[in-house]
Amino acid sequence: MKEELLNHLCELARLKLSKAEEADFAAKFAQVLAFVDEIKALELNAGSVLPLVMKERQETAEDVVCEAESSPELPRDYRVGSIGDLEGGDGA
Amino acid sequence: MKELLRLPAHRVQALIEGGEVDARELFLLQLRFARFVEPEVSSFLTLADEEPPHASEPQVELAALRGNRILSQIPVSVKDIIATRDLATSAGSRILSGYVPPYDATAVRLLKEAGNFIVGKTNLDEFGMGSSTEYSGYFPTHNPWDLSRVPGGSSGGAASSVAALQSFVGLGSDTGGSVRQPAALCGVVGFKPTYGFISRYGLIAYASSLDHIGITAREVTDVALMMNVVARPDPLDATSQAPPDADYVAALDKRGELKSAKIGVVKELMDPELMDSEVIALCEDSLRILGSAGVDVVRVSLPEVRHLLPAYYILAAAEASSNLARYDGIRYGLGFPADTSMDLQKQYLRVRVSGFGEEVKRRILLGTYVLSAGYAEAYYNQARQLRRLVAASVADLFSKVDFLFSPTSPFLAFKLGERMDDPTKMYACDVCVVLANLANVPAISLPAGLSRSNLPVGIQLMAPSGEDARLLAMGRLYEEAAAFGFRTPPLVAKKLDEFKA
Repeated sequence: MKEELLNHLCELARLKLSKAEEADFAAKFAQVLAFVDEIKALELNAGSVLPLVMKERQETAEDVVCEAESSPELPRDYRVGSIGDLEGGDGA
Repeated sequence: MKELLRLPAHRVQALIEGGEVDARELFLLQLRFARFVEPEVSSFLTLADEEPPHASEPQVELAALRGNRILSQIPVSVKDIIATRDLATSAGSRILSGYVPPYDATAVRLLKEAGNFIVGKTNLDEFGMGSSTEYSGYFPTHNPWDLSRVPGGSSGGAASSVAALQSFVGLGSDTGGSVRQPAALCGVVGFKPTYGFISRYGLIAYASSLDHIGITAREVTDVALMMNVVARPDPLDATSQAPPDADYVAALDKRGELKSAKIGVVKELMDPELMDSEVIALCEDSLRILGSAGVDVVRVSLPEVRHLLPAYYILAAAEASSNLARYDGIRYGLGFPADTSMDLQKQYLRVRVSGFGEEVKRRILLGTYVLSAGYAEAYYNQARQLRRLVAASVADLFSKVDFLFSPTSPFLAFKLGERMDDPTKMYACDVCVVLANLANVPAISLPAGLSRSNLPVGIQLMAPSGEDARLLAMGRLYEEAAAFGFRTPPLVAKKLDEFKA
């Protein structure tokens, strides 16, 4: 497996491998990828891939627009102040 | 009194209810023997105190609901991936070391409300990711039948604790066979219910669409008693769907009606190229036993079986990469003193790099890979399609047969370290058991006897989704016809002889 791909995955997953463990990890990870690779070649046509569990609960209620009892309004120019402002100033 | 520890839970409970045994004394005896044998088997990450704060009389409401036929006043072990209030829960991972939940999982709460005692928290492969308990973040568990061999996994601690007389029953978790495979390798019963029948509230998530809480026990009746406690609708789990009035113990009495049932043997899972010859031989013996009990045994085909493992590992890893993203050491578990020279990302990284073990990192990276742009269609969506097709094929088979049959594990318990050099050799252990998780059907592993080398072998039965009670009844029918009963491993029997109560 290419080093840059492994590093990219580590970055996405918030992980890091030390130089010492990199080689062994890359070799074993390549074995795993080879193991799952066969699925790419399968010709499948199962239609929808919505979750299959809890079929009977997939039916959801109609969306209904509700009138809000009160709508809190903020001024359009409202901004949260900086930490310093919040601690010492008026915050707005 | 120590000989009581060899009995199945339902027989001990009858003695307690008859006033012949004091439940609290039994719990103390159980705890002391668990400690005595623990240096050999290492089933537990945490053992309870001798004065459990939760010991109580069964709550009347629960007992009345089940006509008193519930598991009650019995020492129970709980897999360390299930939250227990005031008792450390680490999911077998260093990243959660020191975490003590402020709440009980629903299944644990119900067990306590029924008056049962928690013996301790059992060892597992970290976050349930493994098939041998060697990937525990702490230490491996040993098989009570041969200490140089694995107990299976990931609920290896649960299975070994029940086999080694350290608890009468155990709560485990089963994402891809993690209750059934170790049960088979340790010679006990392992049950995975239909998805949603036991609440997952308080079960630390690994792969949410595949995760189940399951039960390890010495006999099917013990499983049914436990189901009567824990299989209940739960508003705290949005996927909970347990029938509110099912009685799993009463269902066992109807096993006679199943003598005309039809069992389909999945021929791809009896393939001599995949399975040990001794496993196949003992499975064929079991089929003869079922046949002589009157059950009709036929051979069926499920060609998708050969693609199940890749599909399972893609789906489970994808879900794990998302579920395990939450562990950063900020709110709970492993943490380091704040270092102001590091930004937040570096602090997260430090915790995750030191807290996760090798296999967990591998699955997080695999999940990240199969979900990443350019690969999701080829891997993740293909795996989801396959899952749907398998579920449809299994449903089709169940229109022709009442139960499906296979071995539980393709191999006998293997030596510690034997499969650690190649992760895919470990994944191959799950070939028979992932089917039930992918197809969302209940499944049970039952002892089928011992190999020539004195190692247990298990058979697996599966039923249509929701027919858990009927599956347990068939399990009981087999158990009765086979007349094996629970067997104490010789090493444990010797330890019991040496034990001074």
